[in-house]
Amino acid sequence: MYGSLGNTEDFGSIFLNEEYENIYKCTSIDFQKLISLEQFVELASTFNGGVNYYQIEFSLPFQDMTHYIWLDDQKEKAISVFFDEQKRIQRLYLKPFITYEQSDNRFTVNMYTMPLKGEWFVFWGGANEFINYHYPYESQRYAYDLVKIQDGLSYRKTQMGNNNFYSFDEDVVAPGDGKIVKVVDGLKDNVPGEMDSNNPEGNYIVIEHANKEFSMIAHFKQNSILVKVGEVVREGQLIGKCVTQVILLSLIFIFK
Amino acid sequence: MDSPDFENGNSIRIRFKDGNEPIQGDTIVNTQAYKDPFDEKMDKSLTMIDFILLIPRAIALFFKY
Repeated sequence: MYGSLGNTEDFGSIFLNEEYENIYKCTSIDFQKLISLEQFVELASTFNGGVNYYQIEFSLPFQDMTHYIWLDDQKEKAISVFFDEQKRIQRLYLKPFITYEQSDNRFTVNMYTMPLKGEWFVFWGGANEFINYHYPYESQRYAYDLVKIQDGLSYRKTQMGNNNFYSFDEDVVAPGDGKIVKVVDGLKDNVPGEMDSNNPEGNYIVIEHANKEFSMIAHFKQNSILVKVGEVVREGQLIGKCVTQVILLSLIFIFK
Repeated sequence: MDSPDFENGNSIRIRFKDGNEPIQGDTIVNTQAYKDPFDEKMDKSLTMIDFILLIPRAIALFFKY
């Protein structure tokens, strides 16, 4: 039996008012399998300690869900919730809100374009870990994961097999003028849902740009890379094809 | 990144040419057409040819009036 939260935007107040049982009833079956009501109440009560109010920081459409992030009055704690179309909670995270001011204020000298043509969806990207899972890691903090979507889905009919994904075999282009300094090609394409833990970046390219800036573009389709180390490339030049996701690691582009 | 070694370099926040900084949930549209350097040179040389051809036309017009 599912509960009802009314307006999803009021979640922050509902959570602070300790309506834990009502919130728990609105979570998905999978969430309830992970954590019991008693555990949730204990965790939420501790998290609410010292908080005067929560305020919405982000409200973003995310495929067929809506992703909200509330921050506490001290901007030290974050509640991240994904609601589906039935206002059911599919994901809920309670975590400290940590940002890195020094690196957040450091921008590239050069200006770039996304390494793709046409319309792509930003799956991960932004300057906090709730919208960009790369953010906690200094070497990939401002990376982007990009995915091609049609009618809210990244695949046709089934997720079985790479060629069912709209991103598969799409052109990847250079995000700026530069020189190729690293190429890894020849790694077998990952099957969707599986990851090569020894080579999570899969096939990739590193380009050296002006001002000693480098871009890394990851998850190329096996043997699709068209450029060699030492080759000069120009912005927009075709450099290969993607598997099912594109990563730009600050530059890092990840293709999905 | 500030290093070719992506595991040890520091990530740098990207400035995009269109002035936007997309975040999760955004749709990006890249419609910029790539111009091959050879084609670009041809375009430039054609412009020069056009310019050169303009000179006799201008002279012809001068004598006509």
